Amino acid sequence: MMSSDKSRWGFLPAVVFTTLMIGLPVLLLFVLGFLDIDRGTFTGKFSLQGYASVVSDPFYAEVFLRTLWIAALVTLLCLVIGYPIAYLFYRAKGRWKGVILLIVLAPLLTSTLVRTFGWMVILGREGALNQALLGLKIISGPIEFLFTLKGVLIGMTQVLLPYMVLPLMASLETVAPVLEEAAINLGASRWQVFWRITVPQTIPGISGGVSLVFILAFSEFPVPALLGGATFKILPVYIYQTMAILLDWSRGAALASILLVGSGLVVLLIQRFFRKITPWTQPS
Amino acid sequence: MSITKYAALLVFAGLFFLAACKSKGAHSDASELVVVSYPGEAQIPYRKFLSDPFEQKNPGVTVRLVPSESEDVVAQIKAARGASPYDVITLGVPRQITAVQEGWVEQTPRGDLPNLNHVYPQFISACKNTGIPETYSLIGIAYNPDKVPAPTSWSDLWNPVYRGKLGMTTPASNLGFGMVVMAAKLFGGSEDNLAPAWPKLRELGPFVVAPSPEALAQLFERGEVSIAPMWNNDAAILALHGLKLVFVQPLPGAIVVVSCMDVIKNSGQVSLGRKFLNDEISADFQSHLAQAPWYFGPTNRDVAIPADSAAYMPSTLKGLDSAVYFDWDKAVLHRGEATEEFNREFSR
Repeated sequence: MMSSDKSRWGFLPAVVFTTLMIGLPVLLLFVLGFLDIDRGTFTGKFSLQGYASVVSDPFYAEVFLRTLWIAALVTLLCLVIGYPIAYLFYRAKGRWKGVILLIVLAPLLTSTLVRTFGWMVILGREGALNQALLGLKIISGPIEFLFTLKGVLIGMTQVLLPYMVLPLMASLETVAPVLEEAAINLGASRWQVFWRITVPQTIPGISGGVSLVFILAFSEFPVPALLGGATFKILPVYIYQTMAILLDWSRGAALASILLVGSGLVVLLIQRFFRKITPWTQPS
Repeated sequence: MSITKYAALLVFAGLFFLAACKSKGAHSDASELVVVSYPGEAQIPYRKFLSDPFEQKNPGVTVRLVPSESEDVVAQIKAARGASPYDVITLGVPRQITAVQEGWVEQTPRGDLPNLNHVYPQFISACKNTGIPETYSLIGIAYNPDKVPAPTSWSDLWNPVYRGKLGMTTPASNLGFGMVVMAAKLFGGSEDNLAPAWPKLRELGPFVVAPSPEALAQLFERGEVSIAPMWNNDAAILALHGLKLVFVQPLPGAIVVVSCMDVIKNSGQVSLGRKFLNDEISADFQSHLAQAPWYFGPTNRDVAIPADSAAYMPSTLKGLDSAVYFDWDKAVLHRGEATEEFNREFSR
């Protein structure tokens, strides 16, 4: 009887908490887009102007697509860099596992803001990276990293890398070594084992990491705002400007809603794609 | 756990949450005065010569200085809808005009501000007879003499020798807005017509856009920019730190911007806020503000402008006659669209 009660009501606090703390603010955000707000003051009227001004303006479509493109690029970079790190962790023995885990987790010990300020010092025209490249005579003049897409990609990849590596590590830990050994015994090369045995088994981890990093990259604000400059063309920067500087809350809410829905749709597509390429993970 | 226990737990959590919300309000501490002031080193005189002595004069009162020149503070005040997290705010004249029109700063009774009798009347009217005129500053051009030649006029910024070395701020700050209005006026526009500014500003590119004046000063420090429109106070502080930087009051003149200080309407600390405003325009505090390295222009007529300030501001009030005064009443009507236009035009 007790067990039945638990299963019936155990989820209740989570539902209440999620509804109050996430569902309600998101709902208010959508509604805010339908209010007529003049420089932060509600005029008492409802209007479609907030959403209409966003949907009818090709500039925002361009910003949306660019945000999508940057988020996809960052996700790809995190996967390409993150997988070897996770694989190294999987192959490591004894204390090396702890060392790698510490290196992966270390960036999470400081805030994004602090790390981004660090990148500003490193990536500046007279920063450490340019000084090193100039010193080694690899370049003849400083490379512009700050306030360019290059700088933003470097910063966002570093900040979001742990969110890719951690699900991959967890996923690799579930790979049965016996399958790899069997493949080798049957004549497969190490490369074939990696691509045909190891990677397919970690697709749930790849799917989780890709979804997580994409969501975070798509809505990332501090890194592009600091490393890309005040006019870096990305949706979260425009949401901030519209809300906090122009005080056009209905248009800002419309932009934020589009960001939220867009992000959700893309993640849905990602999940569907991975489900399709891994039919064996689905219940028959 | 049974449903009854869960319900009790949820009710308890809800009550705790409501109690926390209620006790928070605008202030967690009844004797705290929260003042939005300048960021960085410009805040030092406010701490040393204004808020610390204010705390000593008013035992039990603490003053919290919040450093910000950013418009998002205004967004927070408006979002709080009468329960502002701040009590007193510094606003440049362009923002002061909007704040008075929107009615979220209080019209402090003149009787509560005896020191206002010592303030130049033209500054009082610049602040729309609301709050107090605390200082005035100049927007000029700062440059690194090791990297670029000296500019003498605003139109020199269009000299190709500065291409790729220029820094700007968005019109969200008074500094950036001042530059847009200046560009419009230089090339056939006016405070009412900013359109001529856009093609001319485009000619200045590529330039770095900083989100705020303090961020622009940091870019100067890190060598990202070698020339930029800048506040005289920021230039003076950077030069004091040994940075190779010269401040120019370019022709036809540096732009004068008066700063006002107001008590926010419905603040929980109206009475303390008014006292703070009165101390702000005292001859004692203003004479500290006018000293190196801050060089904030004194609005109290009993305060002499220090002679060593010549590199950063006219050493007499009469010298300000050669500076540029914009018709901010007209210009602020176009600020929102100017900010949006700038962000679109120079996005990358």
